[in-house]
Amino acid sequence: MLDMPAIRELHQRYESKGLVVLGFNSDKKDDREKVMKLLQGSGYGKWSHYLMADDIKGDEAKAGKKNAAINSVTKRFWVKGWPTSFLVGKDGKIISRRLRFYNAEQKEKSAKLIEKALGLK
Amino acid sequence: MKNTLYSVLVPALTISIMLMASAAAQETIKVKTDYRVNKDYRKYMKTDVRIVGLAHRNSANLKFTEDQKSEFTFGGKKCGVEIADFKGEKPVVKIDFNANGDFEDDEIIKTYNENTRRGNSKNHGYIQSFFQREGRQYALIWVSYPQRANSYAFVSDVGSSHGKLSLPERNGEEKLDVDVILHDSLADGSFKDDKVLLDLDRNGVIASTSERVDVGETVLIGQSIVTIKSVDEQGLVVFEIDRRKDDSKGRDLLVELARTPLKGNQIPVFDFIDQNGKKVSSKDLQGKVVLIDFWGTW
Repeated sequence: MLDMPAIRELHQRYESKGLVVLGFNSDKKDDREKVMKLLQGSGYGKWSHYLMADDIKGDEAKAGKKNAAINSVTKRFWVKGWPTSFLVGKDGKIISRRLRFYNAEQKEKSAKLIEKALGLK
Repeated sequence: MKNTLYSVLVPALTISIMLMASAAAQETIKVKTDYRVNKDYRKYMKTDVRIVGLAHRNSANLKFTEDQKSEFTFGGKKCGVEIADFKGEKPVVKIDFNANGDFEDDEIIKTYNENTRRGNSKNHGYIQSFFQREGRQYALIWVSYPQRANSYAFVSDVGSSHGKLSLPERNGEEKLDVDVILHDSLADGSFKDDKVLLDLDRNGVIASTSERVDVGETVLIGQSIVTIKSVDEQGLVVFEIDRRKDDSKGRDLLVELARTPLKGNQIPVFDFIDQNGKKVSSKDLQGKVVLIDFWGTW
């Protein structure tokens, strides 16, 4: 959540230059209303969000385990904390596993990485 | 490759000898706050403060009462302890390390709480606090390991370029001391954004990664997966280690690592239907720069 305003700013700035932003939402199904409200009210809904709780793929999900879909995705991406932001280059390779936005310095560093990946510099 | 390794190892080994020579003067302080919290946790708390030095060992069970104060003896001096704040259920503890009756010079000056332990969650390591004692800067670091149920704290002298990571004996695993060297690759004395060298195999050779390690990255050093959590201005590196003991596990780990989405590896394949019913697939994103943000409303 803390990083969302910064990501919205980056989305606005770099969408036209070719940056694709995807949100992988890790909320439980019970919180769906809260999530949708947030996406509609804040402008965060301008990019695609993967509501992972909805995904029923995966063996664990088939076995009916709670939060299984979320766990299977986060496990595959090796996400160990929230928020975690990946930056993926044009070649599909991970440029960073942890883009950070807590302060101005981090935001600038993240923006620079994105610009470099987009070939703007 | 050979040349690179050589150039890295030579300065590292030199520093390693220095480290051993200065080891006697080095002191490790561990403060483990293992808190039992009642329903009304602000009123009663039991905290275990364990201090380990080369010359002496000291362990204290502190009972905090309603005034949220307590004390323990360290180095023959009575040091006051005060609960400064609560982050969730986690107390931020101030310790009067220089035993002068106030928290002015030794007070926790910064407190991080990025990864609060929730329930029995594991795999976390973070700086708990910074403090000063006798003119030296220390950081209290909380590290936990996947195979061990408990978290550990250790203090490193962040004023210098080297330190020791000490993992206590626990759950049948032997005590492990690891030399840590911050490799000042920019040679500007700042250690900022620099390499971390760790003697994880305890063979006296400080292994380095072949590439520069940035904060947030996870790298294989020796046979251990190390996640660099942060580097502060003094050059203190906070890291999380996934340590496996025997070779078979090490191999498993290597296999696992090859499949792990680390920097430079391919992003895992995914496809989903977004909130507006639009299909998104990783295949369609080829040739595009993608920012993937894992988020939650909590």
